Amino acid sequence: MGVVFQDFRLLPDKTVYENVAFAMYIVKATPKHIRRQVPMVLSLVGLSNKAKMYPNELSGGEQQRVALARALVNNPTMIIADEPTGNLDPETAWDIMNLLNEINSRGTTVVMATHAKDIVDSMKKRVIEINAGVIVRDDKKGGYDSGK
Amino acid sequence: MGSNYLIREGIKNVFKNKKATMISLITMICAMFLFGTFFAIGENVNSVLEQVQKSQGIEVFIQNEATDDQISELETKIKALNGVNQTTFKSKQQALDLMKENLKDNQDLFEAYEGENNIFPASFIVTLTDLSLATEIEAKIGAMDNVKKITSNNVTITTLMNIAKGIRIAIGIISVILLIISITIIANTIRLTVHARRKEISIMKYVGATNHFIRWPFIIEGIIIGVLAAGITILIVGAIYDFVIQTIEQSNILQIMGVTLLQFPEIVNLIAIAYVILGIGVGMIGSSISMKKYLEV
Repeated sequence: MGVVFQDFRLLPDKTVYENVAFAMYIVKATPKHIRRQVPMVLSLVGLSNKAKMYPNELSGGEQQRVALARALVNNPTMIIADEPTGNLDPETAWDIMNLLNEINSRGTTVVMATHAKDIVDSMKKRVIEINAGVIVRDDKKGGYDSGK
Repeated sequence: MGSNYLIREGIKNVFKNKKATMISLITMICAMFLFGTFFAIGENVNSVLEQVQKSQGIEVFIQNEATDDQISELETKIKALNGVNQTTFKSKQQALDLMKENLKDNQDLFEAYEGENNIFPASFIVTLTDLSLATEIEAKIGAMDNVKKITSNNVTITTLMNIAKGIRIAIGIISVILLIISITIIANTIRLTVHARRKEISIMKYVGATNHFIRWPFIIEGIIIGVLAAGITILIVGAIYDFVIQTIEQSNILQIMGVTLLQFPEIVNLIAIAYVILGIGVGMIGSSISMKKYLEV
């Protein structure tokens, strides 16, 4: 299971590569596996050329892509994204969404909490609406507002 | 291999957080320097006191009739006593010569006592390893054959012992206080550095790192800084110590007192042990304790 946060939560004194590799060290992956896997995920999120940069040298969208790479690197069956687009401008937000969509099409479940109406409306994915901690709606191909 | 990564991370942290490393290093060096300087002074005071105590002897006068064999037998017996450091034989002739030297202006007085007529008794100067045994040893020697009389300076001995005791207690108390101060300062510095990195710690937790995975690089960082600080402080204390000792030795105070001071190699081991405990021990325990708060996300 990988997690993506609204505020990215990258380690400021580690490079992009190290941030992603960190998630692998935690699960005690072999160095060989790490050396192979990290560049792969970085190219998936389109950051191969920024591997040696630090988070504060990147734009918000790029930082979120690093966080996404970190969430993906251990090949989770599920990714939880807590408002992953909340801190991004609409255009960058769509970059992230397209990336999540692609990850989803490769067989990873993506659970995303959001209040971005237009994203939900145009994605037409399964929507679960929660109100005051209670599930009030579960549509197979829903929009942001019920009845749409 | 997992532990390799943790060690490497610890080493990297030392160089990455240069400011924090420098602050911790300087703080630790100051605390260790304070403690080390006092420790060196204390050890020397102790050593001087011991030397003074050992030089305090009792003089055992021997019966005039005693043969050479009996005298050497007596010496063996005295040496066998518990608490006796050294015995020095002073012959009748030496006793006479000493007296002559003390009364230079009246040499003619002694002419009558030369050779056969020498009335000065031979004696042993007995020095002790432990002054508190003085009374006991005197009683034992007094009971031996061929002993004419024993003289000792009991008043000096008791005063000296009391002073030594007082100084030792004072040194002990100040050492403990300095140790507590050092530990507090070091522990506080660690708390500050951990606090400065609380965000980093919480991120690691969110990504799924276990507590031990987060803690070990910090602990290793603490150990490295501790060892570095210990090494640097030993060099500084050593240099200053040598300089001070040389300066004191150049004056002739020591010869007048009849004592010598410790050379740095004689105390460096003890200081090093104290520093390792202070640096590594406090570093490890301190960082574990201060991290606890931030590990509970």
